[in-house]
Amino acid sequence: MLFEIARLTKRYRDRTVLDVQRLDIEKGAIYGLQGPNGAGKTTLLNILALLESPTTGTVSYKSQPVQYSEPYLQRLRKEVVLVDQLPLLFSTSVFKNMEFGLKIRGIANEERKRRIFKGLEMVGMQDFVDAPAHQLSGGETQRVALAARLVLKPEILLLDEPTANVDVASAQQIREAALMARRKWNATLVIASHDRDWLYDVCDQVMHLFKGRLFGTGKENILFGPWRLLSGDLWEKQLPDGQCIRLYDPPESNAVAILESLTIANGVDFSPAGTDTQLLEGIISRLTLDKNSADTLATILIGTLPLTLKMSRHKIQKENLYPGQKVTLSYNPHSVKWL
Amino acid sequence: MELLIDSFISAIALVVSLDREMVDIVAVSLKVSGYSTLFAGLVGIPLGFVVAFESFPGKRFLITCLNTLLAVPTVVIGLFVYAFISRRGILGLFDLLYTQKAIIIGQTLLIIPVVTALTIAAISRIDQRYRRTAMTLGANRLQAAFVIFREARYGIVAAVIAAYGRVISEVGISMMLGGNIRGFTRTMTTAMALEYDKGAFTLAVALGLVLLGLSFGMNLLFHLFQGRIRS
Repeated sequence: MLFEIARLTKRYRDRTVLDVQRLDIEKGAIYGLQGPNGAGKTTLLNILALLESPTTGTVSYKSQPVQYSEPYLQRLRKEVVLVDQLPLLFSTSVFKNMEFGLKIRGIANEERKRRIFKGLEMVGMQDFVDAPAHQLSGGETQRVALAARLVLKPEILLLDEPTANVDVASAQQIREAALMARRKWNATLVIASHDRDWLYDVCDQVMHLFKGRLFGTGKENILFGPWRLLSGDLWEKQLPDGQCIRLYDPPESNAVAILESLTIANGVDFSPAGTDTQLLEGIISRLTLDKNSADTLATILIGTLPLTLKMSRHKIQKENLYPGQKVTLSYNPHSVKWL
Repeated sequence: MELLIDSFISAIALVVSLDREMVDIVAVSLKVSGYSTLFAGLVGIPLGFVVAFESFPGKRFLITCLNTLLAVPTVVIGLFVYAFISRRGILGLFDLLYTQKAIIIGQTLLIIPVVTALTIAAISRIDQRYRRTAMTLGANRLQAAFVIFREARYGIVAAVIAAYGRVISEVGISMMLGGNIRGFTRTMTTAMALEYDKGAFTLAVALGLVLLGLSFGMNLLFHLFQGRIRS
């Protein structure tokens, strides 16, 4: 186990931004971190990158409790590197930027050069080796920043929204280069991203972070407020396409719900669970393999809201489901977990 | 008006012919100002860096004090240093009064706050994420500090140039601590004051032209580095 985190909290003044009861990071695995802005993803990455200390709780690295003293942290930071969401390059050449971390690690001159050219090749930036870093575009900066970390061959590579601010081509190269770190030297990757399709594709485990708390696998269907009182205990949220999601008893009008009982209702063996059963019309936008269970994950768009369903391959075949197909979803408005 | 035009023409001739006395005076000025800028840089740049880089109680108060010292009149510094280096002062035994060393001491004290305050401003302008970036790449505190220093290099050079411009044109300290001794402690500004007293404008105007030329050069350099900061 590389990282073991237990009962960790991080507070800024009176506000708790992170509250993680347990998190284990295994060597060689790829972890995805999902969650809305402000959920605590960057704070968690900062703690894993040893840039911030927790307010309470313990962080162990390679079974040793992390001591938050500078000389100790500096040694660990040579094994754990982070690429920020908006990385900065020093105002010098691309080569010098790439060289910085290698020099700190005392890598010999010839080996430095070899790694730098190899690293730039990995992200398709080999023609920019002598370019002034401040003349690069956002996507190019992100690629060079990633390459500058890859050449260090870290044990853990932490990526904070690596493809959020770049074009499609850059995003593709960043994804491939990051995965190469695991293929080539079995690096552990922790990726915070809003790109859930990518996370489902590549991650061994996807975690969802919301209001500083980790829960589930990231495949949950999360519905944000505001909710409007319809009648009695029943509340509804109108979707952009005019349909409504109705649920019982939110703790407040802006509460966040996890929908727990979603099924495809136009199948041959569908039978409503009760009179309360609600229906939604959607369209299958994507069918992907769930790496952990070998089941299929169907992403169904209700207007612009994506909902995810895990189904067996047998069911997909039996009901002849395919992307682009219109489907009806059913759910029980009582079967919901409020956050 | 005729006097001014005549003096101006004679002064240009003096500058072009590199008049010996004028060259000596310019050399003394450049020397003492150069040394005082060097010493102020050696003290002010590290001091400014530490103040900007570190967090400690009373930091804001210290910056306020430094900013206040920017406006101290040269004669106040002159008086203050005089009290220490005159025969009755605690440093009287070193016989510093009316020497170039005395001018250098006074000018150094004058511009340490200038270099420090402008270094603080230059460092503070640097995005704090540079430090974080260096740390994520494995840098220790010293290496991260060097990164910040390198990013602020143009601003720090501009601070030194501004300080040099301040001392090359000051008159109070040079007059009070140097004594305006010909060929020894006579600087451009003290010589100009003396020539004015004598009613002989030629050398004064010639020195004024040289001083203006130097100031122009300093400003050009300053703006060049300011431009690098902005870019």
